[in-house]
Amino acid sequence: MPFATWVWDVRHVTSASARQQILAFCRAQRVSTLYVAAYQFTPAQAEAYRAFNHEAHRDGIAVHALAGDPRWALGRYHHLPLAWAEAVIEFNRASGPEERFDGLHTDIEPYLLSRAWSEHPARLLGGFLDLHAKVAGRVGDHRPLQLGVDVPFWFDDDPAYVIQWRGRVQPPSHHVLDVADYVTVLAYRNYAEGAEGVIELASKEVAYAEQAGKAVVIGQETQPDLVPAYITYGGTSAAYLWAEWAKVIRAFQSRRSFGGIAVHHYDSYRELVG
Amino acid sequence: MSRARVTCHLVLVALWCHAAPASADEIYFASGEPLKGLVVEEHADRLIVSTVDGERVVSRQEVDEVFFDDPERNYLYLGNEALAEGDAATAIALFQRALRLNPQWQDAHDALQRVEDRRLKTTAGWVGDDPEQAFWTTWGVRLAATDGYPVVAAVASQRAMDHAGVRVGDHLVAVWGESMGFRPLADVAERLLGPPGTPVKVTIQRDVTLRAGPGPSATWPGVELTMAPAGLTVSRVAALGALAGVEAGDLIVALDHRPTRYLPLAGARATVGRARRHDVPVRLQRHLVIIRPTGE
Repeated sequence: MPFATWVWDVRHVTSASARQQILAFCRAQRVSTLYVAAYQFTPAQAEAYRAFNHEAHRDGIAVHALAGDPRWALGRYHHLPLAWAEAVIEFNRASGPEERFDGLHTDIEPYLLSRAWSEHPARLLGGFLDLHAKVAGRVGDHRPLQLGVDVPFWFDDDPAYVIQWRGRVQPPSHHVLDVADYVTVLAYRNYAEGAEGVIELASKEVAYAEQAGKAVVIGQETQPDLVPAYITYGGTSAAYLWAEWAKVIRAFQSRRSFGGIAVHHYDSYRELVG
Repeated sequence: MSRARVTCHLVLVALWCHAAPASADEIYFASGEPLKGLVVEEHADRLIVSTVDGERVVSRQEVDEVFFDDPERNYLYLGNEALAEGDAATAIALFQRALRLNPQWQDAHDALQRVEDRRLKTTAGWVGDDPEQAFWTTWGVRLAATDGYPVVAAVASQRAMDHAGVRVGDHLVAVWGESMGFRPLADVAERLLGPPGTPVKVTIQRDVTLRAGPGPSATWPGVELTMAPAGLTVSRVAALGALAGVEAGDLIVALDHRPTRYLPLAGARATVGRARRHDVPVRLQRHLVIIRPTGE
C-alpha cells in the first residue's frame, strides 16, 4: 500500500545528513511518495533538489514539488502559481532524468482567506478550479509529470455543496479530479470507522475518482496539540494509528482509484512513530 | 525576519546593480500595479519597501496583497490579516502553516503568543476604558507619541518596566512581534495591558554609544557581532560593551547613524572598529519578556 508524506521544512533536503535521515525513514515506514516544499529555485536550492530527487529515486521514492498560498485561488494572481509551475518544469528541463520532480502538488486552501471566503466562496472556488485547469494544461505537455491537489473532505461532503464550472454542476473536489491526476483528500479524523470517520469522509471522492479514472490519496494528520483533538493522531500511539489505517486500507484496497495514505507531515509523523 | 532574509537583502542589492532582481517581495496595489522590492518594515498603517530606487513608504490602504519571497512570511502576513478581521481560528491555522515551513521562526511563534494573549484578555474579561491612564496606573509608565515608535516618557521606579530595565527615552518597537510604530498611544497601551501575572514580550529600541579609546587593559571594542537570521546581532559583550549598555542578543539596527540592514557584516565590524578613534552611536533593539503587574 503506497504511503506519502508532506515535507514542508526544506532543510530536510538541503543537507546530505538530513537527506539520509528522511530516506531512511521512508524505507522504514514504506513511504513511496514525498510532497516536498519547493517554492524557490535558487542555484543552491536547485542543486539540493537535484541531489535529493536522485537519492530518493534510487530508493524507489517519487518526489512531487509542493507549494501553495490561499491567494493563488484569486484569478488576478494566477500568474504567480503559473510562474511556479513553469519554474518546476524549467527545473526538470535543466535536470537529468533521475533528478527531476515526478509531479506538482498544490496546497492552496482558499478557505483560509477568511473574509473573501465568507463573502465570495464561489468566486474563490471558480478561481481555484480555473487555476488547476491551467496548471494541468502545462503539466499535460510534460508527461510523465503528475498534478496532485490537496482538497478538504468537505468539498463533497454535503450534497448541496456543488458548483457549476465548465457546464457541469458537481462538488468542487469532483471538478478537481476532472482536471488533476490525483487529489489528496484531507480527511483529518483519528478514527477510521463510523459517522464522520475517515472511511466515510473519503468514500465519495474514491467513488468519483473510480469513474473518472483518477486517484485519491487519503490525507491523515499527525501534528500534536491541534484543536479539536479528533482531527489528529498526534497524542495517540503508532500502534493505534496503524490499526486505524489498516481499517482504511481494508475498506478501499479493492478500489482502483485508491492511491494510499498521505501523512501530514514528515516531522510530526516521525515523532509519532519514532 | 526569516532565516534567509538578511542574506537575501544583500543579494538583492547586489542583483540590482547588474540586472532586474531574480526574486523579491511583490506588492500589488489596489490599482493592479505591482511593486518589486523587499518589505523591510511592516506597520499597522504602512509598509517600508526597499526598492531599486531606495526605500519607499507604502500606505496599506493602497495595497491589495503582498506576496513575500519567503513562503512562511506569506502565511504570517495572511494570519495577521485574519486576526485583524477578528478571525482568530484562521489566524492560528495560518501561523501554524508558517511554522511547518520554518519551525524555528520566532516571528510565527510570537504571532501565536499574540493570539493566545488576546484569548487570555477576552477570557479574563479584560476591558480598558482609558488604556493610557490604566497603563500609567498599573505599569507606572507614560508614553509619548513620535513620528515613529512611541517613546517612554516616564517610568516609575520599582515597577515592572523598571525592573525589566526599560528607561526613559527607550522606544517601544513591538509587542509580541507586532509593530507599535505609527499607532495611537491608546492602541499601544491596550496591547501592553492585560491580566496581572501574564507575560508580554516587548521589543524596545535604545540609542547607546561605544566610547572612543579603550583603556589599556580592556578587551576592545567590547562587542562581537554576527549576522543572525533576524539581522546584525551582538554575539558577545566584554567590559567596554557592557559599559555602553550593550547586551548579548541585542539586534543592532543602526551604526554611526546608518541603518545596518544594508550593511554587510564586515562593514559593521569595520564601523565598530572606528570606536578606537571616535565615539560610535549604536541603535539597538532588545526583546524583554515582562510579567504584567498588578498595579499595587
